[in-house]
Amino acid sequence: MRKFIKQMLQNHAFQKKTALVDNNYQYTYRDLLQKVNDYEKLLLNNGIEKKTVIIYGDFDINSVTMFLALLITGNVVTLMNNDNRENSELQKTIGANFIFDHVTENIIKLADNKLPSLTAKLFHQNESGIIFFTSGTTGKPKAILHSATKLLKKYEFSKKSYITLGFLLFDHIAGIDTLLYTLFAHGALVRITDRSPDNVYETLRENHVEVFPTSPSFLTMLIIRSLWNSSELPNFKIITFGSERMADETLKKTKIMLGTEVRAIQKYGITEMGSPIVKSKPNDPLWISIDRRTTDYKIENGVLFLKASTSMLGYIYPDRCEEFNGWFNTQDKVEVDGEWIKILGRTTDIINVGGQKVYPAEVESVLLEMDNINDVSVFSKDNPIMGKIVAAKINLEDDEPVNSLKKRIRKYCKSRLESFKIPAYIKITKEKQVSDRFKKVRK
Amino acid sequence: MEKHRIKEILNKTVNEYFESQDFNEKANEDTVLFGKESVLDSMGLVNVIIDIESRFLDEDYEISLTSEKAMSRRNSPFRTISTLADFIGEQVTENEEIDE
Repeated sequence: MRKFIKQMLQNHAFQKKTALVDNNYQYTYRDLLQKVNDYEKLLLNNGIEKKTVIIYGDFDINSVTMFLALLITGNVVTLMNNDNRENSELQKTIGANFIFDHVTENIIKLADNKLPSLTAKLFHQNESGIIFFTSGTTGKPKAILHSATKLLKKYEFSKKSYITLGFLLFDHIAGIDTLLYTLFAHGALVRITDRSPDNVYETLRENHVEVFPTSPSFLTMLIIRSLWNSSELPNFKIITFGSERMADETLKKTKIMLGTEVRAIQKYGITEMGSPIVKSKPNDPLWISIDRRTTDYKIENGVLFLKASTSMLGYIYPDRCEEFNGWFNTQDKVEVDGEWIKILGRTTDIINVGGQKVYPAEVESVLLEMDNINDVSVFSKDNPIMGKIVAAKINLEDDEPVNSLKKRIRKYCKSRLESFKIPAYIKITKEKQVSDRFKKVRK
Repeated sequence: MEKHRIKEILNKTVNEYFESQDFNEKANEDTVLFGKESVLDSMGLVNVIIDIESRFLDEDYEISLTSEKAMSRRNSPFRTISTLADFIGEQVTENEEIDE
């Protein structure tokens, strides 16, 4: 790990190249190396080896370099945002020993927490690790331990050097994937703290960003805001999206917004399995092909299963660990065409209307084609007759009475969707339908 | 709420649903909502029920057409608009008594 990261930072050809842009300040690869070396010394002097350390941070120079320094010195790193700061239960679960505060650069020692058996096993093999949290289906965060060696191996294939926006969050595997890909390809990562559509667009423009990894939900927000002007973004090349199924209609509108020079590429990642290397079908990026160099896959009953060299070691629960081996059920329903796979939606999102299956994304896509509808989320509602019915929450462009909207929706959907797929319950909302992680909120 | 007002709301709601489905039918009190002679399929009935409930909510009456009570009646209240109006009438009266 030490050699792998140091080689990337020390590469002579890139010493003067910008690695990180934070608040208009540009840090070169040499700056990063220096800072990583300083932190490495600090950690060793304080005996912080084979420890679990939480970074409360973001894509700032301190967090990024401390992250790398902790991996180099054989520690387990946990990335957290400030929302989880006071959550001592999480700290206890993962057996955290220290907290690094990215603003003050202080390392704070925590009360002695018990070392989870999975982490102990990793330390025994002299390896460093990364812990991510996922919200899980119950809403309670689940701690996922990765071996850094396994997770980072694929970045030896990172070759394309771009200026990339660090839009996906620091405490999320997709955010770390953006960071590591960018650094190992010797590109530059641009930090952003205010993720409003207006500020995102400004940041893309001012920093001549070339790649923007984002989510379908955020793209919908950008489309509604209609800020995009290709002539202001002459360097812009690629938009990548993942983390949820994109509606065909959103993709169509995205392509119109971006123009013909920009490529839209779908990514696919699961916190438990890392992000496999995928290729998007050139003319239809909703179809992806998974690179078998790092990830094997199989499809059972239309559900995608993955087996990856980047898979987690297991889950850490408050009182036990669950080691993971073998095939992982992604719970993503897929359609297959030769080597190409299309994600239809999470099996957990599927609405069962009187025994018939409805994918929210399909219904959302049709509704988004309609006039005066800016955004929509489709979810299930209990119904005594059908068991479940399809419900839709809608953001309008201009005010419209709900009865008139309902009538329009039924007329429009009649020729497009089977009757059980047409939303029976319609609600107009002014709330944003996107979570803090820029995923669609379906409830 | 008067019975004729209830029927008025029902006719209007059902007609709007018929229009959205391009049915050439006009609702009156004998219109069959559920059963063999009905033009509504099960999804149609579900839609109409939800529409009716929300229409009454707009008028500040909270009614439930799919309660245990409605579903377990020997004579389904959904047979015609007229029987449904009777059933809603009962609930509306309960609503008014609570308000007093």
